[in-house]
Amino acid sequence: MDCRVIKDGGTVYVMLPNVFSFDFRDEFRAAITGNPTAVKYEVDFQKVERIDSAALGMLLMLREGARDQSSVVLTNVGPNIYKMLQLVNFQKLFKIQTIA
Amino acid sequence: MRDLMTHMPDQLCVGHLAIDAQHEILYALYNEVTSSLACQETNFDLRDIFAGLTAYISMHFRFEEDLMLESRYPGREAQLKEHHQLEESVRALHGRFVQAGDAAAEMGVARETEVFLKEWLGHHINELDRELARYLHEHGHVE
Repeated sequence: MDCRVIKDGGTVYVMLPNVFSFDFRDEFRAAITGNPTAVKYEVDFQKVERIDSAALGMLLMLREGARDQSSVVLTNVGPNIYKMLQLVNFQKLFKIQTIA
Repeated sequence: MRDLMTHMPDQLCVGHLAIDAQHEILYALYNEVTSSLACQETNFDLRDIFAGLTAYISMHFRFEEDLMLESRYPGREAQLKEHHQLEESVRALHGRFVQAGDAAAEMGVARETEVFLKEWLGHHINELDRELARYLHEHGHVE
């Protein structure tokens, strides 16, 4: 499964694969480079079941490369992945929207 | 591509779930610095790696400092002092990188950073954080 990207006006939607890992590094990098600085990012975790430390590092680089840090939102985060994100304290660095 | 990534060695695991998970991310960012030095064109922008590293180190240190405060860790003062020194060193490297002026100078600072991080990750984790993790376990402050 690929990392899907939709660019819609001022927002880039990145739909992550079920295993978001170092293997998707090139695709993820391509999705977030070359965009206008004013763009917002919505990173969709709906399909994500597993995530590794390299992928978490990629999210940090996305945050730094974005216009401002609040313009990156992690959406549709399931309970298990949310626990992982809390473990690494990402709730202090990102706006996270969990699955209701 | 996978061969570019070195996983954090098992010897650097201290046995505390959250601390280890956060160290894994620092190690991943170290890997990004290393792979950027090997091939800049196919990597994330070094500026973003640097900024991510600086931000995450600060966050991680505050996390550990909160744990030390909550658990009344006796080695807190020494650890705080080292955190402060490390943050200053990373900030100084970041500042030099931002002001480097050209690609060659940037790469020079990135190389210094690579060496610094490798040494720091080994020393700080193996000596100070391992001691902290042991104390947290012994005093029931498990994750």
